[in-house]
Amino acid sequence: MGAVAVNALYPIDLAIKQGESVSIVGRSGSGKTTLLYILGCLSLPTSGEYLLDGTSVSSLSDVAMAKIRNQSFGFVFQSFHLLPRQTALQNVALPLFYNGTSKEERLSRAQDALEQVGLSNRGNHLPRELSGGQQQRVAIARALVNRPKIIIADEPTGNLDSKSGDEIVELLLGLNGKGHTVILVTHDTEIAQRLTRKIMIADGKIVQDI
Amino acid sequence: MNFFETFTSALSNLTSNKLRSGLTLMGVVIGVAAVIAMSSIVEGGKSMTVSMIEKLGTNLLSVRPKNLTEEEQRAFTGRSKGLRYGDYNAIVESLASTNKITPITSSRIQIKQEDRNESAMVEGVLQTYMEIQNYEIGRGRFIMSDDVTGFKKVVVLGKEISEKLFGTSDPLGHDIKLGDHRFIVVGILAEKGALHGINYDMTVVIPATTLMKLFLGNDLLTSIVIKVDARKKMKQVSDTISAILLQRHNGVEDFSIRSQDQLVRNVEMIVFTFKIIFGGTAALALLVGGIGIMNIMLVTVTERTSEIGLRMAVGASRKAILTQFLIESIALSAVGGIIGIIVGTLLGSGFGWLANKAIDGWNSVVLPSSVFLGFFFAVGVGVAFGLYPAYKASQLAPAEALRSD
Repeated sequence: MGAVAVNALYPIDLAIKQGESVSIVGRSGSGKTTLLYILGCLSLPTSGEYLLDGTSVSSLSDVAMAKIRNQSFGFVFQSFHLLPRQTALQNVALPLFYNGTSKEERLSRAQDALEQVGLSNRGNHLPRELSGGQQQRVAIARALVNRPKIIIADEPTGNLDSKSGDEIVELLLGLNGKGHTVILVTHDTEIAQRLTRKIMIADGKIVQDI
Repeated sequence: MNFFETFTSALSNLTSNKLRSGLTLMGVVIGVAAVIAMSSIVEGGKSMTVSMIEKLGTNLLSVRPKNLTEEEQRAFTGRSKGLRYGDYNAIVESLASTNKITPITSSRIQIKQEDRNESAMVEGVLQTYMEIQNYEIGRGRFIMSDDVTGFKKVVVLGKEISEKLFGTSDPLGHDIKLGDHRFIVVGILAEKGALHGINYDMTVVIPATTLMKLFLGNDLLTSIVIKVDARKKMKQVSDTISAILLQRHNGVEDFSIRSQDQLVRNVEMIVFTFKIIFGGTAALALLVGGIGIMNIMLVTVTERTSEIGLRMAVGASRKAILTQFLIESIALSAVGGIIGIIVGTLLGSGFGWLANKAIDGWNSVVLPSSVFLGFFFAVGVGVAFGLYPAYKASQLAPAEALRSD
């Protein structure tokens, strides 16, 4: 990895309001994931500015960024990203480990989150003992457990069959109904239609915002 | 961040890949085991030697004639007559109020008892000899002042030589021949053992006066032994003796004063040297073990890049990631350290058993300090060699790390 800056995104002006459900669509390589990672404070833009709740993110320390990721965001990934040797319950509880929640409370809140995604009886299973759809629901429970304002999902249905994929999208829309802002990256236009706002990216530029 | 939980999860990561962890541990295990086994056997040797030295008596100074070079002899001709009985008297005069002093003179003499023949270094002594030299009488009695003043032909034998001369029969009251003279055996010394090639059970003592008159024809001494009343006065007493003798010998330093402390210090010096050598070897093994740990931790970080990305995404700071991986390498080396301590202790007692077969009284001594040291170094290796991989893990960019699989 050299220090060569690649223009994954061209200058973009974009504002997302609290409570919106936004889809970001585009082909692979279009820059949509880069945009998502900037929005989720997983990477910093090399130029330009990102204001989260009115605060510029670029000036924040590593610890502050980690705290924002912990408290303001819940992430759902295409490949689930569950820790293979930890149970579903332990996986869900992971974000709480990093903000000093007591072990007892971690486990009880993780159990609540598993209930919200309909997996209350799967807490002691390891990820490999669960189906893809169930694994993704565990990941959503993990995204929920810290009650974040914003849920960011990167191709959450990409590794799932269409039925499980539908369930996941329903789950995410349901969370949006409960007040979470949902930002979802997908290349599936049908899924994108079901969200209130669609932003289309091509070659690092916003080509459509409806 | 909770240290205990991080530690237990680190241990579970280690057990998930037992063969790999086990092989990685090996270097640390060998290093720590070497430290403990080697130092236990060296310590055992030291404590055996020191206890033997102490058995000879404590706080002893011994004055002996020093061999002069030919050149010195020529230069000093006529100025000094060597270490003599008069020197003993002079030392007694100024130091006997608080310290105990005894002169020793000696000669190699052929001893005959019926058809048995032994050549022995016979010592001529005073009644004070036994206490200062830390002997105990086994049977009969020791040389007494009447024996000395009366030039009596009595002899006290060490345990081993009495057995050599008399076998199973009772030597007390029997005659033996020293050279051409008949002596009566009046006592047998209790067993004392051997040290540095001197077998104290082969001792043969007769009154100093008798030895000088019958065998030497002069009053030259082999040594003067002084038992100082307090350890901290050793140096002062030694200096006083040196001054007295220099004056009496007209400035010729044809004697040397050795202290038992010096003997102990020599042993400690040897032990220290051994420890440095073994320590160096063990340090090398630990270094190799550390490189093994670093290697495997680098592999682990690469393998678990996406886990690192995920942890960062859910709120782990760089410091938290650094701590996690550092604790994993410490757990690895600490487990290696504990196994090493167990293996080292077992090896040490095994060596001790062998050493004891070779030399009676030589056991292995596992010092708590070497156990602590071994463990401390193992953990130190974990920190030192885990730091770079852990730092590398903490510096991953979350977005890159998440995309790694």
